[in-house]
Amino acid sequence: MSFSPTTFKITISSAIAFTIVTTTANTMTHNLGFNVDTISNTSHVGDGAVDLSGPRYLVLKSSLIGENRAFTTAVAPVVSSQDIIHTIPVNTNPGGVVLDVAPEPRYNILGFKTSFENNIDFRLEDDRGNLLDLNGNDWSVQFIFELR
Amino acid sequence: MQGQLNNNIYQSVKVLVDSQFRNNLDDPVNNFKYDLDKSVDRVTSIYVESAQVPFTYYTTTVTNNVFETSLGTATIPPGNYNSGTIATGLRTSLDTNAPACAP
Repeated sequence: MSFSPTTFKITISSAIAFTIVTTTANTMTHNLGFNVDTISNTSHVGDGAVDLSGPRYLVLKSSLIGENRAFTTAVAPVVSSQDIIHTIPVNTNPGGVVLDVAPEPRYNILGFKTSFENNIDFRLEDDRGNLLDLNGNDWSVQFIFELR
Repeated sequence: MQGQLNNNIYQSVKVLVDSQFRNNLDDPVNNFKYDLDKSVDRVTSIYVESAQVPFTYYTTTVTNNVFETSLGTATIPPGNYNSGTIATGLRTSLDTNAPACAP
């Protein structure tokens, strides 16, 4: 097994011909650049670049804040996209802190609920809709509510 | 902070949500309810001012750590890998689970 720093592709070889299966549940073949099942061979080169960088952005959801939303998106219909209230771009490396400070003027969360009881639900996910496991660490977010 | 617009008084309320102060510490840190000091209504707008999330999550998790070949299936322990360390992890796992595939 080797990795080319020029092409960012991985090569897997064996004395015995074999295939790589890309449709397995929880597969990592796409991260390794293998996007389709290979035909039997003793050596396979990824058809894409290795990408182990993880989520491009994190997704903050709240069913209560987003309760009045009436739209859904076609691209991620299974991720309860109407509950998405904010996306946080990943701008650091492992071990750092992802910081997202909204530029001025700040944009309004669309389709928000206009009144809240004394608690709100929150859910933090990766860009594929999986709950984000921070391995025991905490996170925070600051909102500004404007009331009339 | 208050402002006045069209004879209506607007009030801005900053809400700090910190997962370490979630209602029930038995709830997972990524899915919880958070208490406000009081109920709020007549909300005209909501802004996210900032967010802070430690990059302590893994980029390879139980949702993307399986590598299947016709010679066997390797499962990589969750963690943060780069192009060099993933090759080592794969080779170690294939050595155990699909030795014919690991040169």
